[in-house]
Amino acid sequence: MRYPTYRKASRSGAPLGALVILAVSVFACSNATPTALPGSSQTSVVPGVTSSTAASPMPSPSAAESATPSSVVTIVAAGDIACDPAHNVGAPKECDQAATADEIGQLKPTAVLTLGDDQYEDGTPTAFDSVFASTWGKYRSIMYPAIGNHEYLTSGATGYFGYFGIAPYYSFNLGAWHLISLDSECSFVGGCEAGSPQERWLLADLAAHPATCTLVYWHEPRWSSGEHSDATQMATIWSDLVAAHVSVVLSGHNHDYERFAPLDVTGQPDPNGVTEFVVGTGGKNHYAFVTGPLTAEVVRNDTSFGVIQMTLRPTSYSWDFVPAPTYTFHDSGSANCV
Amino acid sequence: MRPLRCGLPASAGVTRSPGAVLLGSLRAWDRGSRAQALHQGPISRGSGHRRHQPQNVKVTEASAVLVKAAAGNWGTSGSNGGAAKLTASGETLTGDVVADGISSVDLSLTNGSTLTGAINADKAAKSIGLTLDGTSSWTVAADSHLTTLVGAIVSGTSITNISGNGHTVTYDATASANAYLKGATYTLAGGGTLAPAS
Repeated sequence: MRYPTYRKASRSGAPLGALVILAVSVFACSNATPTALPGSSQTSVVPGVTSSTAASPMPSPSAAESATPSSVVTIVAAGDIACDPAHNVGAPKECDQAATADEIGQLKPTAVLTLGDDQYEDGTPTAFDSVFASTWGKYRSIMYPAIGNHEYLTSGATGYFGYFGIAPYYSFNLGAWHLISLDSECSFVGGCEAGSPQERWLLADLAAHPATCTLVYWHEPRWSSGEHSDATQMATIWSDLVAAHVSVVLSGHNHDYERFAPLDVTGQPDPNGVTEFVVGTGGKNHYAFVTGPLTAEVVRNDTSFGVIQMTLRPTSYSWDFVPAPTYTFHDSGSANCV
Repeated sequence: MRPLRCGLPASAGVTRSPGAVLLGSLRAWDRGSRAQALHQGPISRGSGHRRHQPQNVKVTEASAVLVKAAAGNWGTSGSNGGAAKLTASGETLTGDVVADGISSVDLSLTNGSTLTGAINADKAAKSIGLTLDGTSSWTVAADSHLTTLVGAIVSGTSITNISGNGHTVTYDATASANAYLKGATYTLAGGGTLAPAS
């Protein structure tokens, strides 16, 4: 079933005024010293530059983790993925969605998260059914999407909602983790400010799922040195997540990879804050950074396509940015949940 | 809020397929909660099917049925079934949605619309689709059976925009539109269950 399309009914046909349904150059972030936090270890590899820090040993699996290996799950995520069918010019500089999709097949994750702008340019139903469906769509059965601004360029985002059938925001449990997908295109969901429908739902969801480890994802990053900068409309929600001790936030929108140290409400480093990753590297194209790295921005790269693979354990997680073929940038590490 | 004419909410609409018979009534209240009379004529309008309506449409007044799609006197097999599609925007709707074995209904609630009622309670419909946007909700009045459910807001293992009142709602786990539900069973707000059809 497709999400229905809407058109204005003619006055003659609908006298009640009704609506009738018819049916990167390589950037090694050289002035951003990798920040290692207690209980974390990180390794970043960019061409010609290698940095590795380990403030403490990798978190050791707890007894519970060892006893219940099924509670250890893996996810793969990226945003800004599939080119428009009319402009699918092909890899490697643009439209490398097939390569990142192939990575999913090789990594065999438990679940796949999309971080919005899954299908360009306008996320039409036709485009979803062609480019996205033939690449990332192969993993739809294990896919948990997030919506982006390009999906809303089709009225009602009918391409996205029709393809996935899903609500603009929702949550689910995976292993011992609680995962939440949000909609950062706030004007389409009644806002993101305090008291907005989505924010009220989020607070209720967080209260109902006091998991030790929570991961939240949406399209427009709260903090970024990429082309679109910070998404200030997500400030209230970011504050909510800091207060709830959410461990990880994933976003896209800027077509680059960025990782931050755990951040507080104001974007300053805080060991009890939220760790943000920007993974807008799903294949569409690259955006060059327009400013220097932000405070607490540990590593960034704006030349590589690829996906982030995360292993979620009951009280900890690890990450690995896996580049698509022909790219060499890596970033990996691990941390305990906050 | 301006008064509604003929009982149909100003921003709701219904259409049906050519050659199909649509029986039913539509009871609607506007945001001011002022009860309106039921629509006095065919509830199916537009899309070039008007010439079929005087013979093929019957409106049942004062019933608890919001929408009923049925074969009527066109026959009970083949392609004679009805295909009703209803959207509501910012409306409060009360009543049941029913259809016979060769008829289907697609119901879409948008912009804060609410529906209180049962959907396909007798499990007779050929297909029933319900679409909820992020601001709309359904309060279940009796066990209901959906073919597709688009836009359910999942919160862990619960659904937050459907109030179950202890009732069970089933969905077709094989339908591609329901892929996001992953074939799982969920708890509805206020009690009740959303489960794959057996």
